[in-house]
Amino acid sequence: MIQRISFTLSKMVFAAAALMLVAATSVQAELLIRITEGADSAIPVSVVPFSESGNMPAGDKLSSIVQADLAMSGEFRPLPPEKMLSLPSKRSDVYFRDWRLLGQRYVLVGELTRNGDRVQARYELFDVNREERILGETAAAPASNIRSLAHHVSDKVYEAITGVPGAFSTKLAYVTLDRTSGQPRYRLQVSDIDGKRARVRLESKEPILSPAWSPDGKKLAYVSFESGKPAIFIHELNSGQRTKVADFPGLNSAPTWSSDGQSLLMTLSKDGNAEIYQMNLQSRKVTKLTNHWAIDTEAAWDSNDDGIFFTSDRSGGPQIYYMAKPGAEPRRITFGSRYNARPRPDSKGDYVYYVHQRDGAFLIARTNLKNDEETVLTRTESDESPSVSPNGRMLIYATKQSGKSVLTVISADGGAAYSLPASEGDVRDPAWGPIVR
Amino acid sequence: MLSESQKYQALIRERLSQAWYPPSSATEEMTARLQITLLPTGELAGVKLVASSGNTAFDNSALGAVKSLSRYPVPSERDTFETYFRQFTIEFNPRRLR
Amino acid sequence: MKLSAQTKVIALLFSVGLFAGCSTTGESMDDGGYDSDVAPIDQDQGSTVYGGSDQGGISSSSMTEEERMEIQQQAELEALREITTFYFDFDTSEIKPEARDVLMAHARYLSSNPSQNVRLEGHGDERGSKEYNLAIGERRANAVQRFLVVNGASRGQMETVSYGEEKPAVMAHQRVHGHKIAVWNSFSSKRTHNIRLNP
Repeated sequence: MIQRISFTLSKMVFAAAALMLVAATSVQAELLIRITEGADSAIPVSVVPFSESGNMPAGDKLSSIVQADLAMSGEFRPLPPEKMLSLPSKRSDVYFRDWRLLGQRYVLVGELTRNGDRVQARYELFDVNREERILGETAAAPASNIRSLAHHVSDKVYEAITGVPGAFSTKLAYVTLDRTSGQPRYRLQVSDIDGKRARVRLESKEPILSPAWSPDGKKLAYVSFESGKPAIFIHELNSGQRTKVADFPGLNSAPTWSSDGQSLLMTLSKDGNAEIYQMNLQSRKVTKLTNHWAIDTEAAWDSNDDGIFFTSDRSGGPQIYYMAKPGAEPRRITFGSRYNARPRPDSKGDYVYYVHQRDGAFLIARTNLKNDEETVLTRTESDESPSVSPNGRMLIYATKQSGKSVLTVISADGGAAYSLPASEGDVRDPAWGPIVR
Repeated sequence: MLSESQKYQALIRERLSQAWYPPSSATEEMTARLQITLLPTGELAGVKLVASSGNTAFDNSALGAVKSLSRYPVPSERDTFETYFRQFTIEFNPRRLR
Repeated sequence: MKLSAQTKVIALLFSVGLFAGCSTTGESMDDGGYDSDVAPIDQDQGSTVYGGSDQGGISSSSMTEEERMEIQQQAELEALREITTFYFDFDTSEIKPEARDVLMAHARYLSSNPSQNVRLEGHGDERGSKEYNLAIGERRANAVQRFLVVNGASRGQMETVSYGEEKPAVMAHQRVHGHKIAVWNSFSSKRTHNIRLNP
């Protein structure tokens, strides 16, 4: 009897407890904390100097190149090696607690081995808080090519953390102007995106303008005044072979490629004033895409090769327009000031970047194509020629520093800036090359 | 006047916002839900991804943020802790991307 | 007399006068605002040539009043033609009233010397967008060409080319051959600096 009662009681207690539990979970289900904003700073990452076995080539260390790459993106804040508590080169030596103490999110460790005339890198990337390896790879390159190997590692690290392919192995094309010898010297150059390993591809005493990469990264189109007037050339980088593709009366300028590499958009004024044409590179036939008494120039395909962004002063001053398909009625994109020119859309179709005049200064701005919101990205004042990295995360442009034209890289949202090492004379007209797999 | 629970919710939200680095692939459409369990000391006892954003880098950034806090701000009052903070859900969804 | 086969360069520059922020601050005035900079240059070009005329040996007493007027007019026109640089307001290609007499002189000269050719070089602003400035430079060159054609020159005598923000090497070259060359423009306060660079 007693037993029974107690049983019932205990059952009741159990039921009550269960009821409370239900109540509690239903309350808990209501507690939902929403995080809608992230940290407003770059991600702390540690690139530990790689251990080395065998003879390594002189010059910059692989890890310092990777560090510089990540810092340049503006998305990462590499920890200086002298602040590290240990310098592990493999997983068993990585003490996550130490790295967490240093506020680090990711740690890259690795080792370099000399293997004949090649250098091999074995490296691993760890997520400090999750205590997990998120990347592990072995890669090799000729010893003379340690920079390529380093940029490859940077690309992999960047992608593992951000989910976006890195663009550190891509190339830049730009034009330098050297006036030191009396005669101006224009030089078309191609370099790594950190400005290193620059090579002159063309030299002229007449202006060279507007280099544009073919989608396969093998050719450049550009404007050269070598014959006394502007003409468009295509330059094969491997062979050095050049072809003059457009030499009509008047302007031949502002070449950009279609994503299949089969045609160029260009500005010609052969019929009286500056209009946008498309040239089929096989047949060299040109088709007129705009027809207006105003200046239409600086055309670039959108991310799908459907529509065309361009500059036109049909409303008075130069503004950015978008033509949904060739021949369609252009729609004006920019309204924020009376001068907006030279549009460059990113590869995802999210933003268009351009030169924007405000309060007497020429700046770089972008417009979000989804909501037409305009953001000014730079704070210098003679900025021009914006070019977006192929992964859409970085932007290079030309600006003035103590009277000289220099190139500056910023993150595409206007964050951290990185100036490319100065060279002799002016550096301008940067064009960011494609990712070549 | 904020209740005790609201006050600690706000504190946790603030700490997590500072600790979260949304990856560059993040979009405003991405949401990751994590269920977390705390000890009364504020230490993290467990975390589980209950709804993925569909983007590994994004999910990892959320997990990394949750795991980066060495101690969560929690009320010392035991009932409030048990009711609200023993176990709760955190949703990561960027509203305003940089 | 100059060799008629030689091509003359007329550079079409622009004026900064309308550009706010450049001429209004004290700082840029120190560096030489547009007005203080450009006017003396044009005067200089005019006076140098006029003063150095080879006609000095001609005795005025042997001429009638009409002849003297004629010669004086010729000399004035010639002096005007020494002005080969024309400025435009920022982002426009409208010929300024003060340039009209000079361009008329050029047009008259070209129409009476059909074998003489002229190269019209257009320049845009030094800041902003390079390719758009190239198009602006062309529009300016075309505006001048139209003006010259309307006033008697023939289209075949003229070649137009736009350099936009660029400085053509040909300008330095022409200068060596004793031609009056346009003073290079610069949009910003570095103007004076640039003039020194290209003396």
